[in-house]
Amino acid sequence: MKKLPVYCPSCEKSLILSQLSCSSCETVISGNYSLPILLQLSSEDQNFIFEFILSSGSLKKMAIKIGKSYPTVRNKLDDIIERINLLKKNRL
Amino acid sequence: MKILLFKPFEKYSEKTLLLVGIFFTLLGSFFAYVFNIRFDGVIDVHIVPTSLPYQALLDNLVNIFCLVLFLYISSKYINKKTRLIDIVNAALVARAPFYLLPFFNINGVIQKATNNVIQFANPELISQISSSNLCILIVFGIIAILFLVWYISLLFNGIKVASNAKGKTPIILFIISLLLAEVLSKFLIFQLY
Repeated sequence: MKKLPVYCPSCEKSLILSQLSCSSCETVISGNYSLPILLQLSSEDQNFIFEFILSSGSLKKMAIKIGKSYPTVRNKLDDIIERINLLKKNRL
Repeated sequence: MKILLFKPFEKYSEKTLLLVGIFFTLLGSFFAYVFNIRFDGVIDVHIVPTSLPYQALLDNLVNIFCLVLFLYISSKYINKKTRLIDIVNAALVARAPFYLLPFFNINGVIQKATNNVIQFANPELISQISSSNLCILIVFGIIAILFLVWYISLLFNGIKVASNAKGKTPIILFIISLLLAEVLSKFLIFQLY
């Protein structure tokens, strides 16, 4: 699976979305759209959030599912919250 | 294997860690009684002529209480979400390497070697110290230091996971907590007997 680049390989700043296209009728939309915060997270963080939702938001269930202890999973979530807050702050 | 020996707190559930910790505490107290060892302080292991059955367990309970008390306060300061059970588990499981040390005093071998060395601990008699006894003490000393490092690293990893500790402040707080726990445990054990 191709990984969506979120940072510029040249200057390392956040990339923005400038073109969207329809795979069916080939309509192309151009403009400047910033990427949603969730997409700016690493694929590891995105997978964690995905698993968290699939576990009905239960850290205990998730800990059992991925074979980690509860505090390890909670720490990971806290780190992601911190990163999201930082991205939100940078966006303002 | 690395996770099992140094970072079990990242993987195993609180129930598993609690049961393992209690099991090792009871086992360690029993070995301390059988092989005449006293854990008379958070980071202390001493060979004694005789050890009473309740002493070994009481020593360990005091040590665990002191560790939990200071480490919980410092961990709560680092992260308000820290749970008491995770600190208790860290203190219980981290002491497991220490509980293996009594094995080295099977048949009182360390006690005998110590007595022999002390007997000749005089500048004039120092050449008469048996090299085998000196070797036993040096090897035991090295092993004890390695097990102490193992114990402290396990404890720190446990606290790190419990409080999501990052940076230098948690390291400083950990050292202060450990030293305070050592002072309090020494004082309490001294008051008890």
